[in-house]
Amino acid sequence: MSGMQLLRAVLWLVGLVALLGINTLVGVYWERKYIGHIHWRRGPMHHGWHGLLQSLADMVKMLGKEDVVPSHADPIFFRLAPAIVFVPAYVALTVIPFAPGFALANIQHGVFFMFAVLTVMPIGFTLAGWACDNKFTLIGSLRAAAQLISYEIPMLLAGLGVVMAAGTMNLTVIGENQAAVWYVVTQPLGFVIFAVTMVAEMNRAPFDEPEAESELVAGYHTEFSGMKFGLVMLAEYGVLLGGCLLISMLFLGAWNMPFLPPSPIWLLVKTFALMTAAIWVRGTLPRIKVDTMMESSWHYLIPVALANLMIVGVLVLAFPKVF
Amino acid sequence: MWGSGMFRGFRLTGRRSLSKTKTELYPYVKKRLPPRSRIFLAMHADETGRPKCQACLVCQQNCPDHVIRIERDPEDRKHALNFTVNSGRCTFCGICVENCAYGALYFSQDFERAVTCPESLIYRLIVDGNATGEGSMPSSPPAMESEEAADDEATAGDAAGGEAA
Repeated sequence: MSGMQLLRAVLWLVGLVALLGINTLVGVYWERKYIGHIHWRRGPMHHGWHGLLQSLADMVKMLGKEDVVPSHADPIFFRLAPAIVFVPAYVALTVIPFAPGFALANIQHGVFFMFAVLTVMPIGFTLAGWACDNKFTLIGSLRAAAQLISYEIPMLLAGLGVVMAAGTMNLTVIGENQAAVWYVVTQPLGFVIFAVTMVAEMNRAPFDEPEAESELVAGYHTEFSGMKFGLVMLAEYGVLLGGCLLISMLFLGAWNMPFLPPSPIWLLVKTFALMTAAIWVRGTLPRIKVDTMMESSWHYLIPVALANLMIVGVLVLAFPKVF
Repeated sequence: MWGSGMFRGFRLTGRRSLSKTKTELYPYVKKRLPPRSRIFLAMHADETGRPKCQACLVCQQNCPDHVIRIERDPEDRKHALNFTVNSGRCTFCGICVENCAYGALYFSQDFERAVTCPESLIYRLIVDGNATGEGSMPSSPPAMESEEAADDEATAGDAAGGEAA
């Protein structure tokens, strides 16, 4: 690897960390503000104009807080778990192309890589829950493991429809293929399944059983304080960003926009719109029960996703020009 | 239809998120009360700064709850030395304001008067013949602390008013 390539990679990684940090700051603020307005409240108002500096104040508070370690916590995994939760959320972003040729790593199996990396997260949740030596964290982590594994299957099946239609797992090619028709038009059912399962993958309401605050205090991250909690927050909003980016890449035309020239801005606009939609869902739907959550995946989403995959396969074979 | 309730919910929250918020920013942005709100009794002053009250005692005699106690100046009977309001008893009926022939009394819009003891609800609109504006709370409760004393003094005031009439 030449020096220039190394410099480029370092700059990309720093840029992605900055994107993750800014995304978390803006995401937390926007979530509090939008949920507030859904409730006819105002949300943060006091720090800066309309509370714009609230997230920054929260970050400073988080950095200054004491890092409490429970006396019976596992000394190694308690410290390791937030990192294991955070790293996949960060690594998943590295293969996202923001425009053709504008990516840190334009690998041939980008979709596969993203799904594979996101699969590591349940390990972090389980480790976090186990290492804290606390019943709330343990129950939360077990729920997280069950939920993420259950919802990964329909998510993969729905994503596979796009991969079949595009004939590749390269995210750049998938984006370029949607210059004329977005995959949401040809595969609406796949889009709905993918979006629903992505919400579950992000551990967001109505699928926020792993951190159900009315039952489990804060679920798997109950015992984390200070910057460990900060890392978990970064990971949560990182997955939100990564998931919304992936939905935009696979189904919503990536950087393409009808009647307008393609630009990375469209990708970011779509991602932000999807994040707002996720907040809207959180402000509208109540948390579903654990058994209903499992049932909806195994009894409904997986069969429907399989049927969708079959239909898409037949259509791709029958009308290769259209699909 | 299956899921129609969910869509109704989304429509409701979506519409709410766009409509005006209901939360008041109370201590930071004061609410403007309707102009006829009845809050605390206050006294107008004339151009020279003297209270408009002529110590006719109509308000004191008509007050059903013995809220007002006026102490006349013995030398100038058209001049009140002290005008004390026990707002803890006031039912905000407005009889005093309606009956004031000189337009001296009015209800102020100042509603921020939370206190820690009932005695602190007693305040003066005139002290030693001078107006105190909208009757700011005295730093220490005035001499008339107990209700019995207030009753006694109110009765005495009635008697004095009666004599004057």
